Amino acid sequence: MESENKLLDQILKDAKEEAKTIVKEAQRSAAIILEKQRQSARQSAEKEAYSILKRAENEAEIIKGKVATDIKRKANWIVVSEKGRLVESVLNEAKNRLVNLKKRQYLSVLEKLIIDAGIVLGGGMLEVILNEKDSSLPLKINKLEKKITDITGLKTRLRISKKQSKALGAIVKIVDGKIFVDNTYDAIFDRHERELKLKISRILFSSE
Amino acid sequence: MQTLLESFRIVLEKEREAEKIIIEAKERAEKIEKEAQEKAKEAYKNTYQEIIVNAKQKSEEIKEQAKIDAEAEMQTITKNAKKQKEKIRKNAEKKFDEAINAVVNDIISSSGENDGIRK
Repeated sequence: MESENKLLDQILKDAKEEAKTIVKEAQRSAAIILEKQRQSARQSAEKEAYSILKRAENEAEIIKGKVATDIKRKANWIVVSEKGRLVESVLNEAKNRLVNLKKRQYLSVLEKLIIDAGIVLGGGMLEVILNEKDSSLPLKINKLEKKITDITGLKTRLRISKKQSKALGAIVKIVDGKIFVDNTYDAIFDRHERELKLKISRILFSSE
Repeated sequence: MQTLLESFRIVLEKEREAEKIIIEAKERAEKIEKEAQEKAKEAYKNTYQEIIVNAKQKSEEIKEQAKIDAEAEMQTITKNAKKQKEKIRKNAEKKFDEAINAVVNDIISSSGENDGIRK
């Protein structure tokens, strides 16, 4: 009787053990499935995450590069525009000084401008166009004619034109001809603008 | 005293009971695995999303930092350029008269160059 009961208990005990094993195995399997999926998700996501970060790094480089280019350009512009401003100031002040030369000094400059233009035109019959104020200046026409004649070898006659300009300086033209030399201050500045600016830059911005 | 038949019946009952325990265990195991499949799908989604969200956040931080760095660099370069500008201005102002005189002399002396000729 006792051995029979033992046998019966053993049947149930075995069944419970087996059931326990089955459940445990299912739980172990479930844990593996879960972990495998997590692992798989990590692998896939990390690939995409790498791309996202790489893209961000590239964008960051572009941002830095663009800003660096912009700011270097801006910084350069700050310096260059200041240099330009200073050069213009010198040019304006030089014009100012030329305009405000003392009468005697200006007369001498004006005569030189006329002589230079006469020489360039090769002498001969020349007409001098001045502004209203300069037309009344006591120019030594004979002296100017002689100087041009001496240098060009062609007898020169100068005539103050009835036409008047508005600029300081002189325009000299061949009488009955279309050729002329514009030696007004404005024209001289225009002709020499580049070299004057270069010269001013060399003086102002040399490191000495 | 139990008869053999009675004994057999009792054993059979216990066997059935045991079998029921096993079946129930199998059913429970099946449910666990089924739930695990569902949980695994959810876990995949959550893990994936978590990593991507972190990456996106980090990506924004990288770009934001780049902007901050660029802004800082911009401030430094601008400040230096302004300093340089001041230095240039101060040095140039010392040579202003020299430059003006050079221009005036050039204009007075170079007016007769051939390039003034016009038709």
